[in-house]
Amino acid sequence: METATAYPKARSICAQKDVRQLERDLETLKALALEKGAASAFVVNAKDMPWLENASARSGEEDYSSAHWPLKYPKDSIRDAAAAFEKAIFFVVDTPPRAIDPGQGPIDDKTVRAACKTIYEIAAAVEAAAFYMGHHLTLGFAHANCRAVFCPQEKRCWGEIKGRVCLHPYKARPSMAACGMDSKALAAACGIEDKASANWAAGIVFVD
Amino acid sequence: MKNAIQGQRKGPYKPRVMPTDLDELQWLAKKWGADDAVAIKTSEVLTDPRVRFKCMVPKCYMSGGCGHCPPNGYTLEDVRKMLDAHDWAVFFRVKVPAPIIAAKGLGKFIADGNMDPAGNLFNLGGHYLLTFSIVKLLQKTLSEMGYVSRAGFAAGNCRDALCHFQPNCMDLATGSCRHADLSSPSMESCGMDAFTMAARQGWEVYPIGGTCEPESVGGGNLMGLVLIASENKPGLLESPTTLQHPLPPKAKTADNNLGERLKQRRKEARRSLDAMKQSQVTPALLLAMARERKIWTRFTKNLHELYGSWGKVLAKNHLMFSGQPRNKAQGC
Repeated sequence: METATAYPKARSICAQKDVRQLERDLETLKALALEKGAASAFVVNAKDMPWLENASARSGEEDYSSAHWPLKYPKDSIRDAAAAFEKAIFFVVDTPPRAIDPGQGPIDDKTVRAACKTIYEIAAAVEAAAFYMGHHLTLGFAHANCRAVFCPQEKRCWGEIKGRVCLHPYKARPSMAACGMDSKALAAACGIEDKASANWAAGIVFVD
Repeated sequence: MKNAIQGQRKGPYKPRVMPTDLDELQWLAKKWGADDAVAIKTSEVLTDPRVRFKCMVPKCYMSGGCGHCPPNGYTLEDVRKMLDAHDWAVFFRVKVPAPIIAAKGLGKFIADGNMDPAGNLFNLGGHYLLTFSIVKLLQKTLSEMGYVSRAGFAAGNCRDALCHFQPNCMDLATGSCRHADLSSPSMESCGMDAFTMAARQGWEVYPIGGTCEPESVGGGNLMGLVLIASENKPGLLESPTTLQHPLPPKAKTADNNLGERLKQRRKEARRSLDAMKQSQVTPALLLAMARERKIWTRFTKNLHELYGSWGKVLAKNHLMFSGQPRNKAQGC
């Protein structure tokens, strides 16, 4: 098995999917997620993804919208895109005990924000690794509102303002919840118990 | 083949796509600068709902900033209608050397809208411009051959290549494009999996992102696709089209005397120079241009073939280098 960071060269794109190579890559990516700070990581089937209804409903009273929550893809379907994948790396990061899931809203607790940022970093690292392995359509999703994680001091999300661009392109991304993915149900399917005292947050990278 | 092309080319619409014409189109694409070109059936064009999300997750610096870039652009359904309305396509690639397309730190310069001192971004732009010109030349030739092409697709976002010094995308602002005669949506913005399509042709394709380096990839490719249909193809005229609306010509006013016009021209020139200065365009880029003179020469010749006169080529170049500085509020 390749070590988690042994991918110095980009792999050329294959005309047909190599199932055995994909299996090896998934193990490498799982190890990478753990190396980057995930408490646990799993290889899951993309078609087993449980979906929530009304995912983009706001959790707080404050208007805290961002470029990635609620989702603004009038011409595309995230569910169709997710359904086109076969495998994904699902990972969880521990958050401080009794931390409340911020949902779409701001994150006041710095330790919770740091944990959420770790998820974004793991998603970015695993997605980049998968991309250079030749899985060029890989997509990663994180946790909480990217605005709360990357731009807590900004009065508005720059990516939402006409004529301006996101302050953190290539880092900010939608969360699983914003897309309607039920991370709790998926975690339960992976054997993670949702105890009140055991707090965690999750991310996922669809590989191929 | 060359003598056949120099002969009479205009004619009535053809009832079906002729294999000899497909051969000619592949030859022409290579003549105009493509490194490889193949004729494929539109059923071989791969569309995938994941492709457009590569522009949005995570958000690319240009996502939403150009009329063609996701979440703008065409739906997958529209693209499939375009494909179904045509029979064949010419699929081509323009190779880009790894030291240019995977230059270290290039991603930051691209996102900031500035030229890198080595001129790699400038020369990368030249390769994109070449791809755009090949698409338009193929579409023009198809019309002369008696076929219809309601859709052509290039690579990358057209705003960076054609409107680099402008503060906005005119198509987003007004519904009309500054460069309707040269701009095309990219294959990837239309949900086409160009990478896999290229791999199926035996072309070596590497995933190139912001963090790779020249040593880690064999080279880059810019892909283009032009659809071909015979005139009587069912559903052709009802299908969506990628042909864009040009900006209306500027109205001449009574006060437009020579003095006023010169004053206006000076003002525009100053603004354009300020925009270029802001984007860190320097005379040193001419040296970089000389390194890729084959690409720039080919692009210039393509423009001449497209527009028919050197005056129009100069006017097009003038328009591409025109602009105004971005103010701080506009960011990139």
